[in-house]
Amino acid sequence: MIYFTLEKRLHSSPVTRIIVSLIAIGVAILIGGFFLFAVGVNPLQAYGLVIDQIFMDYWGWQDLLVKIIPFLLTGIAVALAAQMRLWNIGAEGQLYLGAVAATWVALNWGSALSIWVMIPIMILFAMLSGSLWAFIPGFLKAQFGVNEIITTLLLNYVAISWVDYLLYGPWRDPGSNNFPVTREFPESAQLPAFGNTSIHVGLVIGLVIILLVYFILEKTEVGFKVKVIGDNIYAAQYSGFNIKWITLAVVMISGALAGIAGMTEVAGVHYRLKQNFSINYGYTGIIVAWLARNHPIAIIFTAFFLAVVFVSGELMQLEFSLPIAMVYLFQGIILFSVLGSEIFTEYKIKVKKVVA
Amino acid sequence: MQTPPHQPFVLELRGITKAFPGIIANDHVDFTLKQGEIHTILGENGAGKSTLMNVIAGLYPPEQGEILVFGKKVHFTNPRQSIKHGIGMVHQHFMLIRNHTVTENIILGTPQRFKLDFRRVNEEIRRLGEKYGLTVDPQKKIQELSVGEQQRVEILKVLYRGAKILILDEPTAVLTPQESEALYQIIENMIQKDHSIIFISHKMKEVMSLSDRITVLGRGKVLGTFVKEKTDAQELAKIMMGNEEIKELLVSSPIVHRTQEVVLQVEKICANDDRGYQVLSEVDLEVRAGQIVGLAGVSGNGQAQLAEVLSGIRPMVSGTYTYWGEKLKAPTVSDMIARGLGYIPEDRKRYGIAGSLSISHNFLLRDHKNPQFYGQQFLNINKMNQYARIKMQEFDIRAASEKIQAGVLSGGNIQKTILARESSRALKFLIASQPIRGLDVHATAFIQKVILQAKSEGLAVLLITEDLDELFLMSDHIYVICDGKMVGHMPKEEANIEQIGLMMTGVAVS
Amino acid sequence: METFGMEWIVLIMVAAIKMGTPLLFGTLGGVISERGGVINLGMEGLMLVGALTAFVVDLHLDSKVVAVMCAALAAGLVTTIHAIVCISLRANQIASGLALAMFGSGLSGLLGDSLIGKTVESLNNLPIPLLSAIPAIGTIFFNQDMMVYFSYLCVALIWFILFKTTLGLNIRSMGEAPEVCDALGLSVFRYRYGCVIVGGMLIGIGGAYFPLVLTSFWVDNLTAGRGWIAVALVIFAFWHPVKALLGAYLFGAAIALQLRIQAMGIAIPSYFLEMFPYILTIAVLTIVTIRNNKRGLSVMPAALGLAFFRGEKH
Repeated sequence: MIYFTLEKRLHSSPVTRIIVSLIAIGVAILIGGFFLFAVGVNPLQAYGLVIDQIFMDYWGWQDLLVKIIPFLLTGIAVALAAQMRLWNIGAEGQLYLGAVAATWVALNWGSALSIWVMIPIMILFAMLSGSLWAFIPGFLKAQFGVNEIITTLLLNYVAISWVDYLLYGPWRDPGSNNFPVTREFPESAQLPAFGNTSIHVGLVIGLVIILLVYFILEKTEVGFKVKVIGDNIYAAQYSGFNIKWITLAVVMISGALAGIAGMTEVAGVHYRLKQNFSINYGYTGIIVAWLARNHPIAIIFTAFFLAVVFVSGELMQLEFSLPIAMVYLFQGIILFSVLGSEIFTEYKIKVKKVVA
Repeated sequence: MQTPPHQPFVLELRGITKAFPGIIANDHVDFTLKQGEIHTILGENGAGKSTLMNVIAGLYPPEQGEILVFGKKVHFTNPRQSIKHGIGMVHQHFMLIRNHTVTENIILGTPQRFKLDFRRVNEEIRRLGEKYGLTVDPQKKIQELSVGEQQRVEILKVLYRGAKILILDEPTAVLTPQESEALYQIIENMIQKDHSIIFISHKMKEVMSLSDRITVLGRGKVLGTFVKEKTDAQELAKIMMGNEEIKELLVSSPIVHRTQEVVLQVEKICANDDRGYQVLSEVDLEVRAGQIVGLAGVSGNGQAQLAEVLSGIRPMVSGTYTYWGEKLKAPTVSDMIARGLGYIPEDRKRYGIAGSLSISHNFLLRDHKNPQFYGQQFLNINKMNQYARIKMQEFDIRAASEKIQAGVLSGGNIQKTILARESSRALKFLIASQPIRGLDVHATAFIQKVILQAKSEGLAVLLITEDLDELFLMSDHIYVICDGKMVGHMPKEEANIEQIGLMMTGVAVS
Repeated sequence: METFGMEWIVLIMVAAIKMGTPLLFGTLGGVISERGGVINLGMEGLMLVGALTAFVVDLHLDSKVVAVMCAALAAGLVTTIHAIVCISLRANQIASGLALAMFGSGLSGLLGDSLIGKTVESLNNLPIPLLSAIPAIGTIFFNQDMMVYFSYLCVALIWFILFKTTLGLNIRSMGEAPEVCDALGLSVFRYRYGCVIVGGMLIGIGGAYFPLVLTSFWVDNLTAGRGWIAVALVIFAFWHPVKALLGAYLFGAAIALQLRIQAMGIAIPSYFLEMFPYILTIAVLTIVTIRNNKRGLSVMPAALGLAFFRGEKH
């Protein structure tokens, strides 16, 4: 009789993890190809197009570097909360609220102030707004232990309804032919881009924030406390850390970072607030963080990968008129595949023969 | 299932070998059990006792060797098969579902009608219990039962399945002396009703009084099998620990007769548990410099909460807490650390370490203000590692590197890490809660030596323990706690084990 | 009709049951899955898969019964991925649930894209003789469609199985202490797979209720977050099928009220009314959690969310 058993690896090296993750992504691409085939698209042709029109193309790279920006920010937002074993599924709503605050600043003060004042104020307000939105589930969690997965998620629906209200009501641009969009931001409220490209300053903001979070986690006392609370809340209690306060602060900072993502989208890409300006960017942050195992530096790479997925999805939309849902499906497959592969980083599979 | 007359053994193991990554837990183990016999397996932690029992119970299939049950060769690949052959295991950590009733726990996994007839089954279990003297209310939930009652449920569980061979894995480790006595009686009852028992223990006294035969395991190997009448405790202890000098490992405790300064004095302290129920009522306690005060009690009687109050984790509701002459109102953990309080928590893995962080990082717990870890205001990983390496050497913490996760360390090494961390600050008062529970002889001796050494240098120590041997070995003065109240205290010379046992269960007060 | 009069209340209650029924199926599915020890956060995705399947089948075969059965099968099939990933491959159940939500909404969005604009006939009400004649109660509970009656049956059946049978004892034990079950020879894998898949099928039936009764058409994201409310309802119901019924109808009433007020043209922007059920869910969840903390007893299955692997300790 032959049977398989799992044996726990004593050490799982980062190299093993990266290799296993890459294989998992490969498997996801294969499975995704099957679904493409099922809706009548030749997957080889589709993937060929991705290489040709994205990776081998000046405009393709430009798209990627624009798309990566919200993922860097929502990814680090989710990862920071996850350092404390908290699920911030609400990055989507925090992003929306950040965009709302930035838009308010842009529309009200934009014509009066210079860009050097405007952009920092918009960022500040977006952070404030996102963190206040995250405060609700954060407070409920820290004070009463209310399940943050459900509360953060449900608040997304509330946030989106709120934006709908603004766009169909008080903020609608009268000159827009009844489209649910705001007026265009004045120039002083638009994030500058590099040269002639559409790549805006948000890229720098995202990267700087990631490095900052990394530094704080690794090099400071408070970062150490965050790690301990995330690993073992009882040990944190025993060590006298102020768990409630740190939990609340981390959730709010997480919300603030997602809020910045909302600001960079409206101020760097659309120059206005509009419906569906975020295509599940907040939820995508969860995948970005999970693939990176919450490591800040790794997020730069996983955010790039998700940017590839999105830009490819938009390409499929254009070339084969597939709906954007294709991207969500693909995200689901990637996450499943990576989750399913994790067992191979922690366990070795052994084949055993037993002579009966 | 009767033993045929020509078959001398109800259970026979031949050359059982079982390996886990990195260790061979059982190395060609031979073992036999006779009808109506109590055969004890003796050995240190990590000697392979539990693994061997799990092999017999069908939880782990062995790599080599054969098992004969009632003379028949068997291959167990899951626990159900061993149960079918009449083997029942009573685990050291009870395998009970706290949210379920006694009946539900007992019948789980046994063939029953699809629609459960609870009335009939309850009655059946009541009668079975009466037969063996295992009284317990079948309709109660496990969480409502005492530890002793829970153990009875475990035994009933295997008897209900028709077990003829019972494995009792350190059954008295969690019991009070009185509960242990009751268990011995139950064991006698079972032997009289033709059951055979494998008994695992390292309490020499009960081993010598209960067993028919004794097998000593060490590092996965059988070191010898002895008939009780032909051996004695000294010989067994020597074999169990290998050829090392036992004397060197034993510690002796110098009693401090001088009256020294009072370090800690609490009067009428009351405190609640997490749900708001009162768990400490008007507790008094006094600890002096250079003195070890032993606090005896069955676990769950308020010791944990008292330690938490003293260390600043749990707020007190009322009472006074005087520390080095200073009245404390609502001390925080950081306050107490700054005042030189060290705390070795009872559940060392749960409270004492952050398991997925490195050993180096774990030295920062309760010591994260220590400038030795910082360079220019920021944490310096090289300095942290260097510090950890020095402490690992000093406290004999065995690990491949200071960078590995603290969670993979053995219990003894975790405890040494905690001790190293807590005692590396300028300590004035140490709370040590169950410091040697579950540790092997070497780790135990090491930790006891460190604590006694610190005491002789003037440290005040509160030792919380359930282990009466440890209590009498280490303490200068003994307090007993029961149901959140101090039921008495006395100098060690005036105490005796039976008295303390009765006080722990609330039967007697001093 | 007099607003806020008796008749109005009955009307709201009738609508409450209609709105509550998909939540009820979802919550029941969640109860079964979580009693067995596996969280299913992917309800939203599963409901969408069930909804689309039911819509497509009904559109082509014009049979509600077959449509519901296919919805259950499709959702069961998709949940199997979750089961494999969480149970056999021992991955994080929460992450896998999120993957399931994304997968389900993506799959339904992709395959349903061409169906937008088509309609099916709505499932008829079928008054139960005698019972439906009881004033008020009869109109509310017994003048409903077949799927509502089926949900009553499911509540009773699941309650009976969970608390009165050997099967139920085994299932509950899997959620409390799989290692104990394993030591006693019960197959943790088999029971957990069973619970997740059967639970997923019920969730899929809940999804089928949207196109077959509530909307009659397909749009992208038809369930609009109701799956997430069902996730919260499992906690609200303390993992109990009868309390699940109460919770589902309470939220059904909230949604019915919201729609009613919207229809009455009261001067609250509809966007705020749309927020109402979500805010209510958060509020109720908070109250339930606080009450639970005070009582100090946890009814949550003790091993919920934990993967099981024999011999983990070594």
